[in-house]
Amino acid sequence: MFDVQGLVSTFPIMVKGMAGVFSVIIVIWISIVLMIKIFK
Amino acid sequence: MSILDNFTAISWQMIVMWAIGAILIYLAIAKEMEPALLLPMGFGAILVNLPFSGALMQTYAGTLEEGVIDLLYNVGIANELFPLLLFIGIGAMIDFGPLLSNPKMLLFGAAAQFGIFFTLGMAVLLGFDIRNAASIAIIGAADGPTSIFVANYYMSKYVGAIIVAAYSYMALVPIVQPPVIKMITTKKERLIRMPYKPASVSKSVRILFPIVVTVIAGIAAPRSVALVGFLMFGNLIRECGVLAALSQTAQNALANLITLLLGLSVAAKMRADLFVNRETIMILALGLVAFIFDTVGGVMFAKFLNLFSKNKINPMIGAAGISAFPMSARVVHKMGQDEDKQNFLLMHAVGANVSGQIASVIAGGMILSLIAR
Repeated sequence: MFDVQGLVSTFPIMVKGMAGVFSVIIVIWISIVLMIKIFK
Repeated sequence: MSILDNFTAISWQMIVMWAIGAILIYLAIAKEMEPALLLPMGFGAILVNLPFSGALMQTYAGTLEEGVIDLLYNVGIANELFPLLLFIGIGAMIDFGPLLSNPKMLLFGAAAQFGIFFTLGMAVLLGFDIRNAASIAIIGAADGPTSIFVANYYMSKYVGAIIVAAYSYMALVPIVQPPVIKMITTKKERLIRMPYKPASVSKSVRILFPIVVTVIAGIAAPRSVALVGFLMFGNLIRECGVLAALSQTAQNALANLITLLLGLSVAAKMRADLFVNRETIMILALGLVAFIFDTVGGVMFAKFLNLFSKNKINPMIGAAGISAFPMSARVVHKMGQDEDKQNFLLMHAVGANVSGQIASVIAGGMILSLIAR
């Protein structure tokens, strides 16, 4: 038996998780760019 | 208790576990697949599935005796110590230079975590509760210590199957990824050449990088700070330039010793009564789904970026965003060379690959933050 209701209730976690990973990675990306500019 | 009693206590499930142990030992020795881990795991699987195994906790003549495998599990995995110590060694092994000189590769590391969140939904759909689903989904981190850490955090009873799946698929990356990549890319895309023009990276940046990543990841997902912190501490030892001997020890002696103990300890959860069941087969299948959709996520993200980018990216690079380091980068480079001998994708792929190492830990932290224990 498939738990479709459970899957639907998991969608927000899936979206927030992926968005969270991208957000942190983008902040790290910006930090690297800034560090490279500052400490040439 | 007579020898005959021992013989009659052998169940078919134990024999299945002996076979699984033998397969793991075979893969480690004959195929050289993650031998440092699969060999002790395979041996441990046999050790704990002998009738009345003294390696496990047993009651003899009314007295409870602690087995060494249970002891190792309790001191090394139940409190998450071994995976964290192993991360110091892994951090010391990783050269983040290719990533620092081409930081946009970080995006592929993020995109290639898609399989984790996709598998989370699939595991829930198949009837696993959210904590076990999270523990299974993290197989997609393609990163053993993170898988152990998360599965243990949620006290998943499937930790044995999860670890076997995580390390087996990491070893099988050269078999799993190429057909998926070929299925979703055209030959023209696989032929895209990417000139490598790395920006110079000063020593100060190399030293600051692990500290900055720890602070950022720690603020964003505090529960993952131990994971990120130990990984980055290992890298700081490597890059600081004054701890060469310690760096070598972390990369070799520490990592080897912890891997050995980790492999044996995991066997505590490879008892036949815990392992030989329908859920284990489902976990192995979901682990494969996680690796496939990690690859799909990375490749499709690269194709998406190509819609807006003047300098086209070879979408195979996206597949290297999976954390299985350095296997995945080698796979992508080899696939590029198979299409065009003059196409050198290795450094780009390594950049994406090490970013996958960071992103997988962050993804683990996100899971821990979003799903309560």
